[in-house]
Amino acid sequence: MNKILEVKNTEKSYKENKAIHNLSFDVYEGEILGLLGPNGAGKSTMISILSTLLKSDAGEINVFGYSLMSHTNHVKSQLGIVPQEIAIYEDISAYRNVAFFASLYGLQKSELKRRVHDALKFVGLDDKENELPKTFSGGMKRRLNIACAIAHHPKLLILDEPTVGIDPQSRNHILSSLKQLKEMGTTIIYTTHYMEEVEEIADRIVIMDKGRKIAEGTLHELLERYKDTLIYRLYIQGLTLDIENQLRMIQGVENIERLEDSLTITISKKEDIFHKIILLIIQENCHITKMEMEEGNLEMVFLELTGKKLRD
Amino acid sequence: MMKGFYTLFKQALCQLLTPATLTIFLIFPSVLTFLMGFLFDGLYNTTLVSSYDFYGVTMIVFIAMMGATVPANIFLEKHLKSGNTRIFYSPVSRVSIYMAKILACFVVMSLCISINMILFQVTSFVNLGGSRISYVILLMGAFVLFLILLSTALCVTIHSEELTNVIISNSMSVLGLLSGIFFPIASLGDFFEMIAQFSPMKWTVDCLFQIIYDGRSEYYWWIIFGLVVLSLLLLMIVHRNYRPDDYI
Repeated sequence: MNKILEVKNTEKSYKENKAIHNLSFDVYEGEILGLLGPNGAGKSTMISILSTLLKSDAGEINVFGYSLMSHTNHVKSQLGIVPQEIAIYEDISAYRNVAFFASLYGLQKSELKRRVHDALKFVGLDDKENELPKTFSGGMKRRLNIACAIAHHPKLLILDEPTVGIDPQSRNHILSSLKQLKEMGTTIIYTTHYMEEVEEIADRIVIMDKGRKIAEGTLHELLERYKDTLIYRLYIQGLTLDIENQLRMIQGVENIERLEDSLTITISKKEDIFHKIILLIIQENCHITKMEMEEGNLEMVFLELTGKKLRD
Repeated sequence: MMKGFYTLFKQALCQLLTPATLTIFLIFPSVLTFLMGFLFDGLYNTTLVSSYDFYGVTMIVFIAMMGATVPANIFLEKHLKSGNTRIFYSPVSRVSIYMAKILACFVVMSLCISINMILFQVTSFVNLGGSRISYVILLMGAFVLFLILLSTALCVTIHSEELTNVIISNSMSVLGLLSGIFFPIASLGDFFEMIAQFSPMKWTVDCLFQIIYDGRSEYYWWIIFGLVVLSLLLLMIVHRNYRPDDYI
């Protein structure tokens, strides 16, 4: 696959605060790269650098084989940016918003009209094209934000947390739209702190924390470590510290986390011990009110690598 | 590049041509001139210079000065800031972005002020020099350009539209007083009269009256030159300080 973005040894500081440390990653043509990390990981700073709002302090970034620093406008003409802060004019219609920004990429007349209509239709706002964004819901504004970024058919689309604060229906619409764009040949960089989104759409994932890359790979590669692991979440009435300690002693139990009346128990698939856990709980006269089971996920990967949760 | 500049210029014009802006620049000069002229009618010799003649000039200068808050709004006002951010993502140069806004401000403000002056002269509401009105309009054009660039330079240097507006509106009010816009500065005493000599606003007002009533001013071209040079210096400040990260 062609490499269309190379980020090499990029650094960025804000006064004494280092936002990006020696960050390197590549993006290949036609893929969706998920940039996953908690708030403050440096994802938005990296997006601001790629979109040329910020200049990096060090490092090299090549897009489509051109240096971002020395061929800025050439690179920009093939980028589409969906920033976390909604970047539209609220006092002009949805149509005029998309048309204005698309015209800055050289689109004119009938082609401009067609692309604007297509972009609004793609995001599901074709019936709202003459309405003002200030009357839109948050989800609709985010969709318009995307329409403004795709009307000029960018080769590389970069989205910075595009689903923050919106309803599930709009969120699902955005995610399915991105899959469609990928099928149409657009390469996508998608930043988020929601692992479910990355698990759903990303071909490869870069996990960031405190400005550094801490892991990179496909979902399968990242979860390789957890392929033999099962996680049970048990909500137990009458749970005590003594019971928790006894459960920890069972061979095959890899980790237990307690949150009020629930236990999250990580066990190896190789050890057939779940019945021992249930038996112990029953013997201690406790009552299981709810039980959930899941397999390895990115939250576990992040926890193992950083010692903290992806989302506090 | 030119297509991008033209698109940005048209957009900036649309953002400026609001009812509020047009009211300030097209309606207020007449309203203020009439009001001040009426209130102070008795203080002026009506055969040579009426109160309307005096305030017709000074109120237009005052409106231009207070209108210096407009550039800050078009650069960094909250409801425009988010859309302005997206412009930086597009393949247009930084120079095109700020020049388009500056030019749009200049076109709107100078056109509105010129329309007012021509109407004043044609209707004989205010004496603006008769056949010499073109000199008056040219000087006001240079003055407006200076004010726009002053406001823009301040705005992109301190990175805040609200603070820029506070500084501009307060300082223009003080400079307006010191320029003799509301009443002769000599009535405030020698000290203030001396301070006022350093104000480009005072130079402009004095020069306007010289053109209108003396038919000439030996400092006319020097004042225009000075305003243009100051404007170019301010433009250099804008070029240096206008940064995309103001929008983050």
